[in-house]
Amino acid sequence: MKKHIKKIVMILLTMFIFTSCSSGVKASNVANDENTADATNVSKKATRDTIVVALPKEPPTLDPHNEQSTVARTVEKVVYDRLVERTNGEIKPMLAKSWEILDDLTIRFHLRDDVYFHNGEKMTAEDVRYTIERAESMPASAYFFSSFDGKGTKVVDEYTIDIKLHNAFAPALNYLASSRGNIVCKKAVEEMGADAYGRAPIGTGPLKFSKWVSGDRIELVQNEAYWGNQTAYKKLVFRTIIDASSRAVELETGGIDISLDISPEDMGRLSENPDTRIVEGPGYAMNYFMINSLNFDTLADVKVREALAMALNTKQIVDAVFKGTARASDSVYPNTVDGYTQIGPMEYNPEKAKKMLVEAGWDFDTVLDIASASDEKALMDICEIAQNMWAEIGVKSKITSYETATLMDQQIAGKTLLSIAPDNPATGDPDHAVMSWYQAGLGLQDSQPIWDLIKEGRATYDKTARAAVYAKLQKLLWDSHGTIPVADLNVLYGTRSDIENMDVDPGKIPNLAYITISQQ
Amino acid sequence: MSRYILKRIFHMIPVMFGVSLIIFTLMFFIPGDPARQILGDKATEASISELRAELGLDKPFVVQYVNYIEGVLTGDFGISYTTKQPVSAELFARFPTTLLFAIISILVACIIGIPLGIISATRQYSFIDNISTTLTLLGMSIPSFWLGLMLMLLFSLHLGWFPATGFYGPKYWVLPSVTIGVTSAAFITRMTRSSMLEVIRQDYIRTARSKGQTEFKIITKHALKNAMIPVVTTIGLIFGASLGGQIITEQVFSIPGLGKLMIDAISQRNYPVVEGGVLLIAFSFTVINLLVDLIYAYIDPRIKSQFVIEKKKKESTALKGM
Repeated sequence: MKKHIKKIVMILLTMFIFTSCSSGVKASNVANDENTADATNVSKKATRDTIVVALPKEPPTLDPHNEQSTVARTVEKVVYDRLVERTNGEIKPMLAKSWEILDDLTIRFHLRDDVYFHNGEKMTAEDVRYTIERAESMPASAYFFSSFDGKGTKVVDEYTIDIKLHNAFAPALNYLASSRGNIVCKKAVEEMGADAYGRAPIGTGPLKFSKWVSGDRIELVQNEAYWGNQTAYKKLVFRTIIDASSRAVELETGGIDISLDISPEDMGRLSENPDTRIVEGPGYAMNYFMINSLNFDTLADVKVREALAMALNTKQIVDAVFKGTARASDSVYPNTVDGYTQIGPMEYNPEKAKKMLVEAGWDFDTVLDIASASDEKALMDICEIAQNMWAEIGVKSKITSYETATLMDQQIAGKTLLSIAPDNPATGDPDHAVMSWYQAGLGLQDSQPIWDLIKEGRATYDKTARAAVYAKLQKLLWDSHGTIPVADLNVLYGTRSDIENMDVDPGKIPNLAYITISQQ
Repeated sequence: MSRYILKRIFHMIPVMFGVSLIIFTLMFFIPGDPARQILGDKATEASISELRAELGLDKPFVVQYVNYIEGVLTGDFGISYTTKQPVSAELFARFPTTLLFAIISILVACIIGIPLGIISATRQYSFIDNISTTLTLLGMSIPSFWLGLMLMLLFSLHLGWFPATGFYGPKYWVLPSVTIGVTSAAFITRMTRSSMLEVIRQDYIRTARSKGQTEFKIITKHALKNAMIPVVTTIGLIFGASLGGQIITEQVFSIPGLGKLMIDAISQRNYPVVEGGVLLIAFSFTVINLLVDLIYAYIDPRIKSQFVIEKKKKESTALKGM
């Protein structure tokens, strides 16, 4: 009997050792992370050359044309460069030294001639052409590049390229400046195949890909051959930490330097702690109620929709849900997006709203179905508060909550009458911000004047003239009450106190190459 | 004995088939379109249906299932929709972490649970017994995510003894394994206590006492071994369950194990990963069950002799039939 017990113990021990070995690689590696953490804790004077960033989700792939994920784009932003860059609403040169709009359908870019990919290949106009063509054809990025003409785009010479458009498209530069416009290495993509490339990307950016431990972290190292400014650190590690409280604790202990997603609950603690700080700025993201008035008759009357909007005290909702990290919407898109004009906020007047409903002949026995996202706490909170506010004017409603995945399906299939929608037009372009209005299925307004203005906005390259078009469009959309705008969200990051120059990108995709570390 | 093991291994085949059919059906009927998830809410219908065709999602249920099973039988679990990596590679990148985590936690649980259970049983209704009853009650009722966060706040944030998240080395293992270990230990303590109580009332224990055996020997040699069967079952169940990944604890401590992978896969409608993951979990569960049954035989010779009797019976009926 004893022998057998020994055997069992031996087997268990071997299993133990086996598994320990297989994670041995990680252990040795994390010695580095530990050092960084200790360095932060113990002495601020020690120079730090590793920056650890916590992501709330793991990127599926780092192929810019093959994903739909904000976290992936944060990593991509430093691995790749783009033709141009958008800073504080202005378009600045990046891989392109200069550009000119030849005609409505052609933009000519003059490229830098000193740029190399991480595999040593020189970046030429052919890589840019290949990128545009690929972006237009890959299913995950096709809708975004639908106005770009990949086939028509022509290489003029090694460092000059004419990017063609299918139709006059003023947002083109904003689109190319977004992380969708990352320039990929033609040779690497073709040699490696898209799937392998996505897990070991080759770009021209200030940091190059080094290692990916599935489910745990992605490591980037400094690209010493970078054409622009070198990063202030040698290594950038992205760790996936899903739980928001764990990210906050890890930031406080110094295990990570930057957390890209801070929940409002942790803000107080992080701003009080002298070792950490909150970096906050206005964002592109917004939450609104989407009303499908094309497929459903219930809310087809614009007066009814207006009454619903008037019954919501958006300021109160925003304060309760976002605790000062958002503002009540006063247009159909946030003030960070080009051409924004202030219209609202919507007047809050429950008595008037009720009267309007009576006048419109609203049947107070109707129960409105509000579709919400069960896995997003803020969205659920908004729906619940709105439900109560509507109840005050006698409008009955019930909340059906779906997982975000299902909610999205339901909205696009046109099955939701009234639903909460999170939107993040990450290019900062107004055409992107009103995309939901011209998307089939969602059942927002469909009228010729709206369509005309959307088309005019796309075709107007002049900035001032374009802003005027969008001022008209915003007013038109606002008055149609196809949506009930609720909140414009700020972007929030938590960092260690010695992290400086954190890029507060409104699209929540900061360029981490800019950060520096203070040496006090 | 080896025949018994073989028979049990054959029994695993229908179980695995059943599991695969159930999970495949569930994933087929779950709302939410994977193509829409991959391409995002702004993608056009044309590219959605193109991708659906590429992933084989446009085919009828039976065709999809048969294709899947064909793949699985040749060792191909499909390609993850999101990462485009083979599912088997994804699963096996995570499995060692989960296995290691499960082993450490069950060790912690046994080290706490078994001695505490023995002491409680031998000193029934004493002060120690009452304390341990209270503790086990707490252990069973405290949710693991809360315990995990509290441990993290105390030991990482305030005392700075252990790192808060990650699973990179022994220092990182402590908090998560204690979190899981404490909950599991509660169950093991209860089981050990009640099983021991039953055994120490048996006649042979009285016999052992009357022949002058020391109390320590009576407990460890005579009583414990006989009381171990239900305890081993409990340990096996807990261990099997942890092999499926401790979803919440993995999330709190950011451990790259199966649980985290599965949760992501489910919310992204990443069918191949969910299906492959469930099959792997079912497989490890059946293997653990088999191991537990084998351990029974070593602990209790009576069970072992049953195998032999069964074998003899069969042989004799076979002879009769001739």
